Amino acid sequence: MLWLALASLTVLCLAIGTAFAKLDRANNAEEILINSINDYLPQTQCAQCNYPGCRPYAEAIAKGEADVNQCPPGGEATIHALAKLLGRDALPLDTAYGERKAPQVALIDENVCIGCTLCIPACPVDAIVGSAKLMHTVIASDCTGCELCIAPCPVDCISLVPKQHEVSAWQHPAPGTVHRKES
Amino acid sequence: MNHTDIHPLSGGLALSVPTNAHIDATLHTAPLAPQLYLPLVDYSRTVLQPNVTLGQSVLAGQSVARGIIAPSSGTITAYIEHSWPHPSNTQVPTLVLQSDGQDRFIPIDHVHPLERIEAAAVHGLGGAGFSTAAKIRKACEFGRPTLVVNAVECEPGIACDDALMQQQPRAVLEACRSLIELLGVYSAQFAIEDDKQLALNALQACEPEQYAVDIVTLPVIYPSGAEAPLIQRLTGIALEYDQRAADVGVVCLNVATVLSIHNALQGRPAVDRIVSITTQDLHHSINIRTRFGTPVNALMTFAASINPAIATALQQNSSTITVGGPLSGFQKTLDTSPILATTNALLVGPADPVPTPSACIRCAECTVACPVNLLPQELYTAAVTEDIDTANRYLLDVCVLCGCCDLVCPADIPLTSWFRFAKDAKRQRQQEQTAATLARARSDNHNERETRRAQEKAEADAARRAQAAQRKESAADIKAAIARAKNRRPRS
Amino acid sequence: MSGALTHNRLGVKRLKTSTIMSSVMLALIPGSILMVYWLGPGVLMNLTVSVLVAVACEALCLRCRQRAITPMIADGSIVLAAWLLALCLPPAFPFGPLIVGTLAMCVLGKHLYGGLGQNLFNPAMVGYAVLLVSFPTAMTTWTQPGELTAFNDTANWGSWWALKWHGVSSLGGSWDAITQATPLDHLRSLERQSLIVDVDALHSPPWRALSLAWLAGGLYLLVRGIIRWHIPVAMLVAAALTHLAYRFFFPEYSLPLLPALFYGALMLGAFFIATDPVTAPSSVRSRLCYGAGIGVLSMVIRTSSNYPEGVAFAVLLMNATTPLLDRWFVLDKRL
Ligand code: SF4
Ligand code: SF4
Ligand code: SF4
Ligand code: SF4
Ligand code: SF4
Repeated sequence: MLWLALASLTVLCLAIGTAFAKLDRANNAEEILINSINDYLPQTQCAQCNYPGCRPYAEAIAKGEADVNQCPPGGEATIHALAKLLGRDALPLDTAYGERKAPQVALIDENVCIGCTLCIPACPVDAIVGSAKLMHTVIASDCTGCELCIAPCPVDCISLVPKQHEVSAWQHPAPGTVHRKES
Repeated sequence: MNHTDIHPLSGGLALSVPTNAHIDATLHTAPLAPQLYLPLVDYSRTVLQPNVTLGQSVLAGQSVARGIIAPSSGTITAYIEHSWPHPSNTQVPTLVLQSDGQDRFIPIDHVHPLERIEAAAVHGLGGAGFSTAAKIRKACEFGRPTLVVNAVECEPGIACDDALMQQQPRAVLEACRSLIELLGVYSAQFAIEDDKQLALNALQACEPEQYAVDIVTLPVIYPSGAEAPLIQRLTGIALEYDQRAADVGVVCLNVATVLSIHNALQGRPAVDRIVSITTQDLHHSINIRTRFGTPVNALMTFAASINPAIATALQQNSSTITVGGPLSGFQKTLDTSPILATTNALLVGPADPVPTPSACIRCAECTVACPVNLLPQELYTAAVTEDIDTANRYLLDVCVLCGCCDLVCPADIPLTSWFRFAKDAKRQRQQEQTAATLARARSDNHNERETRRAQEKAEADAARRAQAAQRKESAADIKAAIARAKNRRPRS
Repeated sequence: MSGALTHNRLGVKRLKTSTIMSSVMLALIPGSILMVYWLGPGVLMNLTVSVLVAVACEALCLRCRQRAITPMIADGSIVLAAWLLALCLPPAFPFGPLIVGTLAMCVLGKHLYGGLGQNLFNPAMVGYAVLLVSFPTAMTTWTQPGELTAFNDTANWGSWWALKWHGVSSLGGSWDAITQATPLDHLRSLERQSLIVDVDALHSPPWRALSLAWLAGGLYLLVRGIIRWHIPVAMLVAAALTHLAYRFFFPEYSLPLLPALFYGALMLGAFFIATDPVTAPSSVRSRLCYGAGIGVLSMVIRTSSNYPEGVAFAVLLMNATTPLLDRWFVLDKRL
């Protein structure tokens, strides 16, 4: 009797479990997961994570190929959000991929630019406008500061400048917290 | 209206100032400083571009950047990073104006009154420093707005509006009337606390009814001068969590701002304000009409020269002052930071030591004190964990940062500072998210186009190859035909 | 602080955390003395052991959680919780379970939630509930006031000490005679057997005096502004109405209103337990609702269940609704 009960329970559990697993996979669960991971990435598209953009990195995380701590522009906030989403441990940012910097934008020195158009396809968010032999310029509000346009420029006329003045980015600091043991 | 007609304010605190406080209601005028500093930053801390050049001479009232005017006539001598009165302790791009002492004004002669107010650079002199023209424009979308003149000035240690009303009651009432005409409303509700007896007497003596001004006296309670609580008390409208007064058709303007508007309509740009200078113990207070851009230390020296108590307090602590009132203010080193439209008070002397906070015991004293019915203890937990979603659920945006909860908290928790922190963190997060959404759309666009291009290129390549192969084939056909023709030729 | 001046310079009356806790303890003193005097050295032993164990356990928990120890103990919250727990226990309650209950209070009721201010449930009542379900007999065995409970007879102390270590059975004879169920339990069983109840015969004057002592302490707290009136008043009114309703619908519950209110832990609960700031809601309306809930539930549990007293479970049940009440009455009316 006991064995019968155990066996039937086991069978039941397995059957239901399999059914749920199937259902889960059927409803393009992976696609949904990738999208929600991508929602937390900063979309700088800088490829510092060693993937060609934020979405490819999201795909790699969803497949379990990559850790959540490889995105320097996102910093700790992104890591914590992803760790919470995926139920993984929040590791500190892996500085092998880079460090978090203050927001910046690219600036083309318009006197030096020769209009070679090489920087246009390099920009992942189409933030550079210009046409052949004409001076190029960066639309500052669209630029994510990903630095990808720097390398292709043959005359090194692109530089990165802080996105906004220090005072615009300033935040009220967190006051001191409740008693903690000094260590 | 009297007390019984006023909607009650739940929460708030009855603050008491020292009974022997000596408030000097005379309006002193600070001498024109030789150098005026004009920070090029607007109320949302966006840096503005100057529209004057170095060495250019300007007249008082002439625009030097969007929404900023020269407070006196002179020459722009420098464009530097300079400190300004803000809790960030940062330096911002600042124009230095060497005044020529002649104080020549540019006439303001725009036809449209709102344009005139805009050109006169009238900003709210009460707290946040919004552009007044924008505020009026927004409220006028409602047809006939309700006009509230805010003369409540509920924070102790600040008496600039009080002094103004005592000294120039008729000018104040005339200003109200011209605003009533401008807005096309029937009357103005003029809110004032009932302990400002001298100011009330002065106003009543000028027969406010003749100016269609309805004086509403409010019982003393802090912070009934804050916009949301004030509107709630006068009109019964509780602002929703994302609303400002203008959104419900109320124009709520500080009394000094109303006078500024009146002056602008008369053609005089907004170049000065009254600053209260008070000792930290709130015992002595004087009021000085000061040009914008005047360095704080120059103003302090002047204040010390006319009031010995302030001179003593300044000697006790000559390095730091508090900018703003005892609740809303922040500490600042005493330097050449300029007076701005929002600098309503300066406190001199040593500030109280900051107590060490302990754990929240959820005693709900803060809930009882909160004038806008929030749960500060829940907001606090959310702020400490930087949980913006939870903070939103507990209506972070509604908090008016009045500081009542700090004052009653038995655990000495700096709640208001936490809410300032949370508000900034929220703003930051929103900006990041907007930027990310934009970048994502643009990146998707880019990738799609690149893929399409690659595909088109591949297709084109394939087509070309097929054509070439075909050409080869047809060439072979021709050859074969020629060969066939050749074979046929001998027979003929 | 946001600004430059503190409350005392702006004339705002404010209490410190330690003032709140010590005032509550002060208000507990008259009732506690009465209890010790009347129920004997056992009560004092309960109090001492519970407080000592709680403080030690608190220190250990804070140490494990790497928090500063001294300021957190100095604020008195843990002493107060242990005190309240001890007041709810029978005088003859053995030391072993007492220690278990105190540990449960401290760890389960407080630190597992994150320490002071974070706990959802009243720690003292968590300890009480753990004890009630784990040691039902010991928890419902009360000694009758009498010779053996005389506080000034030092000969009694030795037997109490032995009793607390080995339990009632170890002493036999004379002790068995003085134990009885909780007075309320006793009362209820009499009622169920339809025996005419002579309230005064149940030693009610001492119980009544005790309740009066709690009431006096509570009034002191109200006057000092440590607690606000909403919870106790709502709770007592709701309890009274519930009792009257029971009497109306079930005539066999014949206990008059005043003895019913002055019996058991109702007064202690109304002024000292339900008003615990950490686990009570924040606004006036949510507090009225919360107090009324406790009042109704404690009368229902007391009358219709097998538990001797309902206040503890009523408080715990209403604790669970606190976040909900706060959201309802404070925030949602704005949305
Ligand atoms: S490092 Fe971060 S921002 Fe850069 S591409 Fe990778 S995920 Fe996007
Ligand atoms: S302009 Fe340069 S730095 Fe800016 S987004 Fe494009 S490639 Fe990146
Ligand atoms: S790559 Fe450099 S030189 Fe060429 S168009 Fe871009 S900015 Fe100008
Ligand atoms: S007043 Fe302070 S201790 Fe009391 S609930 Fe509010 S934050 Fe917590
Ligand atoms: S600072 Fe905010 S939360 Fe605190 S009392 Fe004022 S409005 Fe309420």
